[in-house]
Parts: sequence; structure tokens; C-alpha cells
Amino acid sequence: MKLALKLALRDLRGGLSGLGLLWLCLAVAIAGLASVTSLASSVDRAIADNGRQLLGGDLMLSVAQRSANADEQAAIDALGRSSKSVTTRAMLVTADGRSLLSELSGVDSAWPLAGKLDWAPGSKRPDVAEIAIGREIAERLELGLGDRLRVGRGNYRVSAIINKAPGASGFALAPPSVMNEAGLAMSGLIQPGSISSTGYRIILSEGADGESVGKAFQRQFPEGGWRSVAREEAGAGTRRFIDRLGQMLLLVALSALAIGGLGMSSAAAAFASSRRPSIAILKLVGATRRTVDSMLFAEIGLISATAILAGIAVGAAAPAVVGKLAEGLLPVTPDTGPQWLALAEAALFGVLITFAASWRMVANAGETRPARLLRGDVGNGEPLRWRTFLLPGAALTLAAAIAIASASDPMFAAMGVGAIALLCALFALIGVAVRWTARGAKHLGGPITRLGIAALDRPGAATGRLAVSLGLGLTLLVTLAGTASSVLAEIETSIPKRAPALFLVDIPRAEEPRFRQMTGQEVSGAELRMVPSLRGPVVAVNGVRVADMKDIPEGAWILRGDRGLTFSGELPPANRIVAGKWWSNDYRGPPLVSIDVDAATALGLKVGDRLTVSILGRPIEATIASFREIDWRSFGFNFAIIFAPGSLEQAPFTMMATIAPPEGHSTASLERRLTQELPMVSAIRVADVVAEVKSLLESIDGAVRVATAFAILMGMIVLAGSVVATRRQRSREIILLRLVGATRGEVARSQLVEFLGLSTAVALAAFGAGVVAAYLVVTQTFEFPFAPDWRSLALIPLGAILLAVAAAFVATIPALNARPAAGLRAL
Amino acid sequence: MWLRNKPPNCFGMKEALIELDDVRLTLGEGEVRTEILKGVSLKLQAGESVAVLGPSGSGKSSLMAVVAGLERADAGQVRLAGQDIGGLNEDALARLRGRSLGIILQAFHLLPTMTALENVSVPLELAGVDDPRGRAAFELEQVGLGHRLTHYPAQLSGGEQQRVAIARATAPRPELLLADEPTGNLDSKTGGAIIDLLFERAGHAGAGLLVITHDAAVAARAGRTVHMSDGRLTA
Repeated sequence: MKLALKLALRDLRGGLSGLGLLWLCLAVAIAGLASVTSLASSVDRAIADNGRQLLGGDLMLSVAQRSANADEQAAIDALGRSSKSVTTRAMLVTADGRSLLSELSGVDSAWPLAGKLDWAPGSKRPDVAEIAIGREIAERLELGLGDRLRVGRGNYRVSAIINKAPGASGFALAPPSVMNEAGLAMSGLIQPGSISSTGYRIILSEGADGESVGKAFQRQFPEGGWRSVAREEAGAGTRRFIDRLGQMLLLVALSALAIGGLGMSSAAAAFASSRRPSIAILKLVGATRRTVDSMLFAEIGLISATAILAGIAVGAAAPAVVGKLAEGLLPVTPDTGPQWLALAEAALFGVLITFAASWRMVANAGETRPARLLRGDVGNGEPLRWRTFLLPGAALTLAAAIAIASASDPMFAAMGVGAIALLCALFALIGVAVRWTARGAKHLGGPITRLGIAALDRPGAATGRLAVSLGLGLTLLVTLAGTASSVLAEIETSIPKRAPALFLVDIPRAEEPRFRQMTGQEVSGAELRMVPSLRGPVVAVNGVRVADMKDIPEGAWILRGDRGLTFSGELPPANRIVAGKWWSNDYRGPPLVSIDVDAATALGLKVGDRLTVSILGRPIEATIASFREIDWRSFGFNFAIIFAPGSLEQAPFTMMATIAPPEGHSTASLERRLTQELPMVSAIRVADVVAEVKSLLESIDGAVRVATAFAILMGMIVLAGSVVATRRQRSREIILLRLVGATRGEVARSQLVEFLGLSTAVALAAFGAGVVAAYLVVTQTFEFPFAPDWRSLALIPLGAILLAVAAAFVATIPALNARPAAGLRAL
Repeated sequence: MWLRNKPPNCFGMKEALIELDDVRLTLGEGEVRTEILKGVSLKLQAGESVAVLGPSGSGKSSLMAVVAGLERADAGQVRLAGQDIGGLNEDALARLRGRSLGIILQAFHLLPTMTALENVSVPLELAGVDDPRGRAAFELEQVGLGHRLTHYPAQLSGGEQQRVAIARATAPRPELLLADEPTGNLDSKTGGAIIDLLFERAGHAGAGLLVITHDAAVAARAGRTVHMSDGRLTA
């Protein structure tokens, strides 16, 4: 081994001969992969390490629309020091009538129980008639310290601007604001039935396990509808978001790695070809196959080790860099320390992909027979044996297995890896088709055209590898662009047309007639729908308490947290009964309930089963009368759980409303009047929600597009690298052509025919595959109509063709500029 | 000093160094399949020098390739010092070449990324000999290149490159030297000097020498000349 290393180091003095491309492809691919995995891991770790800060305690117990009763309060007090906060949604109204929806919390004197408040200089804790507002509110309503705001029936002075507060984790549509308990009471917003939740953040004794303490509390008060979040589970929403985004980026990074692997394979082939004379000489003077193989692997090992190190160095720096760039977008600053596991995983992928890409070439070069030195054909490879595919195949399988096994959602990862494999196979077939076509068409046109066509099918041509490396990234980009433009078009244009302009919550029952009258006066001709609104968690299914369930199925989201509830005699619009029967309008029997069919399927429920819902701490068990298919795209009131009349009317509840004004009519005057006359009513503008969702989607789309551009860049590197790798053969052809009288322009044209032919075939296939994939994602996953922006979509393959031809041309320039005399001496 | 570390070899002194018996060789596939050697028999004794003289394409180089174990005979026997090399695998043949054969080719075939010293020390390193660099330096001094140890092949003239190749071939103290058109790429003056050196080094080492050439003057330097024509040897 020592001798092999010595020989390898001496051999490397002669230049990298293809290993430069291998280094570049590997370093860039590992940098991408390590950055994605490192970043996901650093956010995860930051959330885990800052659980107490994010939650504002070790454990949070919360309950909807009420506070703890005496027994419950005693049990909470027994757990440790605690802080109580009541959270609701409220309209903040400025002196000049501008308003904004906020998530308002009324906190006790112990707040914040854990973690630090980060607020603007000059801020002070809010007193009775004071309010602390989030920075976003201050910016959107142009408020400063000392300015005044109206909330519900109360008037408040802004005493603090909060940059970040403990307990404010995750993404919220409404920015936060904070008052003290007396201040919240002064607003009059918390009335029986109004939508609110009371949270108790608790500092547990050292070593106590928050999750089991929370579960025990839930078991102690099974009918109370308590929700428990331990600090280990804090930031679960952010985690899920980062996980999903991370998975998408991981798939793109894996695609880039696959593309890079193909480039590495071309590079290894060029390297192996360049080393054959040396191998033959070494064998001539006594080197065994083992010595030669060890030398070659030592060379590839040295180069790939430095590439992997460079890649993981970039990956190690990614959390700090992205953390700085995305400051404020994430609730936590990513952990800037090295994410060893993620980096090790990326390095392992690097080793496996290097092995898979280079093994066959090195094994083939190792078989070089020294007798070829005598015949002068030492540069040509030995015939490839089928068994040289076995070990690379095993390495790729292992890499795919690791990618799937280490993913947070193995099923998604498996589908992604499967899709990458399928696309590789598809474009390999395209490559074969291009070769076949070239073989059939090589007699067409003049000599220059013929030469370009024939180059696509020359022995050792990398047509297949190039088809895959260009096609994979391009398909991803077309899929992404097609999906994003369809989804954004739906959100931007179709949803606002279909959805009502305003959602209004917390309308007191007694004020319903007045509210209707105001709406009629301010927005005449508007379509108004009003439904009763309650909140409460599902606490048992068929008598089995949710708190006692070990695993909650993936699609059974109705069991998580509080659910919006209503009761109705009529089947709501956009709902369709798919099992059981809807009750009569004047039903007055035992409690019946109708639930969303998807949630029912996830829970394995059938009509006749029983569901227990806790409303204000009182359990209500109802029999499932029917399952409904809900068209969520209708953007009306879509409740997963609807009770029959007769069960909930006695509970305190408020009303919700939707208002769809006639086209061209505004709801602004109604909103202004509501803030004056019914200040407890919160108005949610659909346009604001759409803008928020759109902005979030555009951020995700942007991140994934950057990653996809990276995959395409990788494809271009591979293309240019492949041209460089076949430089010897190209130079020979170009020199011979120029020797027989071809001008540089004519030679360039033959290259153009080759690159244009290949990139056009691949771009068209990628466009087709990408459009099909986008169609499936949009219509099946999002259940939106497929309406992409065809014009910008069509620019992608056109741009790719131009880019590919340009990249290939740049790589060909040295060969084009070579002087025939100098070239002939080198031949 | 280095003679004590001379690597073991498989050659005994009683047997003929080379013994070819009705050797046949066919190369190429399908329509281009050509019979190169058509029943060649040859003996070369220890310390003897034999020149194989013949025109281009007569099969001279293929004969040398068969003797060096670079090509496998399709029929007949190839024995080196009494050992039939037909049964040896590629690695065993490589080891045999490393320890007992020194090969010099027309196009020098030095490793371009290694200095003259390293080129000569490679076979010694592969054979696990002690102090390979010291021995390689000694060998280069013997061929008059003591001042060119750290030069790369590209920095050497054709004659100097062939001297390095001779030093590389003789460094492991082989029993047999094989030279295929050693002056083919050199001018006549340099070629003459190389032939002098080749015979001097072979004689100094007491090694048998098989020289492949189309140059009668070179052949005249050998103890015996055999003629090759259309894949057959004539005395």
C-alpha cells in the first residue's frame, strides 16, 4: 500500500487528467448535499436546544375557551412554578382607523416564565391600559412607543415593541401582541363562547419528563380537553416545515449528486484512459494487478478525499451563512456548530458515489495489457465485463438505502429516489435513441453536418451520460416551475374570485341581527353566511381516550389540538355525504355528528362509531351519522366535525360569518364600522391571507429553485467537463479536418450540430417529463387545475439549449484554436 | 552492497534461458484475425546474445512479446530456464518480468511523471529490494547519466531516455535482456552508442540478450543471428 501511494503521488505529478472534473463535480455535489442536511440538522438542534425558550417553559397545558377549574389549577400548581396566558385573536385599531388582526395574549405577572424577552430600547412591560406589540405590527401600522391603539372596548398605549418573545414559536398568520390580564379584561374580548385558549406554562422540577407529566395531567382530567406540549415538542410546526422543505431540497441535492456522479464517471473514464500507458509500463517492469489497482484507487482516493473535505467544509459553514441570510424568518437561529452526523452522512455519500462512478473505469484500466505498448493502441480500453457493474450497483443501492432510511419521511424519500432512478433510466433511453437516430442519419447533409451527427454515436461518446445529466436537472426545473406557476395562479386569481372577501369571528350571538343589518347597509348585495362557532378537542374515539393512544395516525389531524366545531340542520354547501345519512333539519334526538371522510378513513372509523368532544371541559359523546367529502377549495366554512342540532345550542358560542361583496364593492366601510360598533369582532381579510400564503410559497419556491439551478449548473459542469474529457479525440478530429481544408467556422459548425442535436432532444424530453410530473403534482396532490404559465415554462428548455451549447462551445475553444502543425506533432 | 540483496529468480543455470518449441500466435478478431507466428522454435543459452533480424511485419516484436509473457502463444511451448510460462497468470508473469527479465523497447516507454532515478527504481521497489534509489543511482551512473538523476523524461534527449530504459532493464540484475528495435527511434550515431552500451551492460551482468532488429549492423554485434520472415525463423 505504501508503494502504491508512492506511485500514486508520482503519477499525480503529471496532472489530474480528468480528476479535476471529478474533484469539481464531487466537491460541488457534496457541498450542496452537506449544506442541505447540515442546515436541516442545525435548525432541528436549535429548536431542541431552545425548547424552553420557544415554549416559554418546560411544559404548556392549554385548554380552549375557558380557564382551569379549582381542581385543575391545584394540579398545575403542584407541578411547579407556572404562568397563565389567555390568547385570542383581536383587531388592533389605530387612532386614524387603520386596523390589523393580531394574536393577542393576556399574561400574568410571572410572564415570561422562561427565556428572555427581546424588545426595542425604551420598551417596558405593559400595565393595565398598555399593550406590547410585535415588530411587524409596529411596522405595518406605523406605530411607535407611546402611540395609542384601540382593542375591543379598551384604549391602550404602546409600551413595548417586541422583537422576539418566549413562547412565540412557529409561523402565525397574525402577528403577536401582549397585555396583562387586567388589560385583556378591559378589552371585553373574552366572553363566554369567544374563540380563545388559556395556556399554563410550567417550570418542572429538575429531571422531570415534560411529555409524561403532560400525559399524566391529561389522564387525570380526561374530559377537560387539555392539550399538552412539552419543551421537547416545542416548535413542532417549524420543525415540520423545515423537515418538508429540507426533504425537497434533499431530493434536489441528491439529483445534483446523481448528475455529478455521471460527470465523475466521465472524468474517471478520461483519467483511466490517460493512465493506460503508465499502467502498461508498470506491468512491463513487474507491477501486479493489485499494485496497479491500488495506485489508481489511491489517486482517486486522494483527489476525492480533498473534494469531499471541501464540500463538507462548505456544508459546515452553511448554517451560519443561511442563518444570517434568513434572520427573522426562522423562530430560532440555526445552531452554527458543525453538524457532525449530517456532515458524516454527506461524506459517506461522497465515498459511495465516487466508488460507483469510478470503479468500472479503474477496474478496466487495471486490465490494460502491457503487450499493447508494442502495438501502439495502449490508449484504448479493454472490453467492459458485465460483472464490473455489480459493485457500483451495490454502492448506489447502499447510497439510496441510506438516503431513504435517514430521511424524516422515508416514504417521501423512497418516492423521490425512485423518481430520480426512473428519470435516469428515461434519459439513458433518450441517449440510446439519440445514438440510434445519429447512426441512421449520419449520411445526411454535407461533411460538416455528417461529422457532427456521427460524433453523437462515436465509440466512447458520452451521449447517454450527458442526456441523463442534462435531462435530470431540467426535468426538475420544469416540474417545479409548472407546479409553482399553477399553484400561484390558483392562489392569486382563482381563490380570491371564489373565496369570500372577509371572514369574521367572535360575533356575539346577541349581536347577530345588528351585524346582519350593518352588513346590509355597508355592503349591499353582499352574500352573507353565518354559522355558530365553538372550539374543543376530540378527547375520545369509541370510548378510547386520545390521551391514552400511543400513536396517532398520520392523517388523523382531527385528534390534534382544538378543532373548530359547529352545528347545523342543513348540509353546508361544498359538502357531499359519502356514507351514512344527513339528519333532518329539525332533528332533536341524541347527539349526532358528521365528520370529514379523509380523517375518518385515517382513523379507521365507520358510521355508528362514537366520538367524544370536550366543550368548555364538558365531554359530549356523539354517534357518527355520516361521512362528508369536503371541497376545501370552496373557501367557505368547512368544518371537519359538524354536530346535529340539539346538542350544542346550550353551550356558550359565538357566530362566524363570511362576506362576499358583489364584484367591485369594498368591505372597508363595514370593517371601519365594526371596529367602532362591534370591536370584539375580528375580521380576517382573505387578501391578507392570500398574500401571506403567496409570500410563503414564493419563499419555498425560491429556495427550491436556487437548489434546482444548482442541479442544472451541475449538468452544465458535467457537459463542459465531458467535452474537456474527450478533448484528445476532439482535437484529433478537428486537426485532421483542418488539415484537409476545413475552416474554424466549419469545424465549429460540426460541433454545433452535435451539441444542438443532443441538447434539443434532451430539452424536449425533459420538458415533456417535467410537464407530466407537474400535472400530476398539481392535480393529484394540490387538487388544483393545471394552468401553468406556458410562456415562461417554454423558455426553460430554450434557455437550457442555449446554455448547454454555450458551455460545450467554451470547452471546445482550446481544441478549435489549436494549430494543426502543433497538433499533428502531438498525435 | 546491493548484490547481496539481489532478488531471487526462477532461472537455473543448467537449462536454456529461452526455449521456444513450435510456437504459434494469432492476433485480431474476425476478419482481421492474422496468424503472426507460424511455428517458431528457438533456443538461447545463458550469457548468449542472439539477434532476430527481419523486415517490418515479419513477427519479430510478437516473438519478443511471447518470450516476455506479454502475449500468450496459441500453440507450442515457451520455456524460460526450463519453466513453461504458459500456465502462469498475468500477475505471475509480471513478477517474472520484474525479477528476471529486462525489457527495452523502441519508444523507450518511460513513466513521464517520474524522474530518471524514479523510473529506474520502480522495478526495484516493486520487487521489494532494499535501497532501491541507491541501486538506481548506481545503475544510472553506469550508463553515464549520474548527472541526470532528477530529470524527467521530457527533459532528456532520445538517447538519454534509452539509456534510462537500459538502466531500468538491468537494475534488477536480470538473467535475460530483451530489446525490441532499441535504436529505432534514434539517429545512427546515438543508436551506435546505445548498442555499445546495451551489449556492454548485458556482458557486465552476464545476462542473455535477445535483440529484435531490422538493422544488419546491430545484428552483427550479436553472437548469433536468426532471420525472421512471414512468422517463421530461419538460421
